[in-house]
Amino acid sequence: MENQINERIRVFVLEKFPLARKRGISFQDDLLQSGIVDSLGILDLVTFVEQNFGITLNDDELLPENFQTIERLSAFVQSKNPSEVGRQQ
Amino acid sequence: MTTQVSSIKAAAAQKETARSASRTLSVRNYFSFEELPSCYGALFEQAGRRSIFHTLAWYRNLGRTTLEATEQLRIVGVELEDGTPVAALLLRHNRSLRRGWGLRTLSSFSNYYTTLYEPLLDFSYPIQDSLRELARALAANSPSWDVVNLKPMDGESATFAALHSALCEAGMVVQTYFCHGNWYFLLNGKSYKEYLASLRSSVRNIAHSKNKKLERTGRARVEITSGFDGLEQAIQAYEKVYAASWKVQEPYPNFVPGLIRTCAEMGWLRLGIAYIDDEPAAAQLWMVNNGTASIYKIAYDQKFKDLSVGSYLTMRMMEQAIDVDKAQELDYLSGDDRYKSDWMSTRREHWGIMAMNPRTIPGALAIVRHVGGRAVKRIAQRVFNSGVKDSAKAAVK
Repeated sequence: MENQINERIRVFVLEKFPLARKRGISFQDDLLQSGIVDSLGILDLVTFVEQNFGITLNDDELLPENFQTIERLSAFVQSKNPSEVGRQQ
Repeated sequence: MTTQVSSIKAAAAQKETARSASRTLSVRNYFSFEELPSCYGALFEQAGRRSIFHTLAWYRNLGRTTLEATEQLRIVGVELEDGTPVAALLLRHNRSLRRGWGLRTLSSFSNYYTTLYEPLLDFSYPIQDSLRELARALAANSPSWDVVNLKPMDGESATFAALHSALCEAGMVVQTYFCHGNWYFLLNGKSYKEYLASLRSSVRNIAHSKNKKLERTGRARVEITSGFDGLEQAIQAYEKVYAASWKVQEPYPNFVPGLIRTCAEMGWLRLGIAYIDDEPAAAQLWMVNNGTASIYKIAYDQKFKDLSVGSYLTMRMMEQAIDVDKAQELDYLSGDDRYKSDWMSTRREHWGIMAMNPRTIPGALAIVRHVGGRAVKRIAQRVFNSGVKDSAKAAVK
């Protein structure tokens, strides 16, 4: 299931962020330090995750660390609510 | 006479406009009180007339006794070409650079002990101009601050409104939040007796009857220390009472003794100790400055609770402040405790300003946290698309 989540996030990042298309990205690439996702982009990521995986992020979870790589974001999404994430797929 | 006054005012206004238009402001950062040029003394003096919490003496004690080794004091000054300061903001932040993605926060140099905070301003210079320059400098700092958090301020003041606008204009997303209520009493020349007569009869009668009862026992006496004579013994008595009271332990144990000594030096101190059978039973720390008597700390030893020794001391302190010190305002400082509304007449509120930087990732996430996701995206898009100038429109109050 984690691979499916990884892939859905990767597709979104490629669609949304031109730098990701230009450079290409792996699940381990740092989205924030590399500048692929900027401060406005992170708002898109928050919205995408909430809408597409049916989860609500708590205030204390809105940490850059959770959005740093596709792999981390995917693990975070799954830890939030695995059954709900499964149903959304 | 009126015409003459008007023309003088008009000339002064013209001069002011010219002063504003012709002068270039610059911003300098200082990292200790010792670094500050002596001309900043006038700014502290002007601000200190409005509140003891804006005085240099207050800030020095706060720095000496509460600044952590990991923290850095930062005084951001706005200066005219000749170095004369027209504004200063006292701030603190972590010394270390950001580790990972930790929030880089610039906070007011205030804490749990501070009832009122504000930028120090020279009001003979247009405050919108000096605050705009100050806000621009904060927003343009490199590396960027994610959040600028300033509290507690008078939410109704012109300074608060101007600072809010200036931070919005500088491209920050600004939110205000409630800090605490503040109860006070404007005496308007009332004597102590008249003040007592103005209180609700239930408060007055209970206080009177309990006081009489305690006085009749002949066991109670009050000592009020205002200078260095007997000061250290009074501090010991204060600390003994405080430790035996219901109050939680002080987070910074050197702060209050340091403040008491500062107050003694500045002539603000009224440290009242009520003794029962020569044992310290209640203690109150008041500060009297520029016609305001601020009731800063009160405590009593729980074993004397039934004697109402706290009320007994309060009345003696009130009498001293009103009839001897000729205070024009009594101020119960931070908090909405029931007893404060019993003794005071009016409430005002102190508010904080949180300015978040939409240009940094932690800043953007802070905006989502504090403002809310959907609205934020719209705001952030406007900020990014329009640039700094239009971002004021995007501010969220």
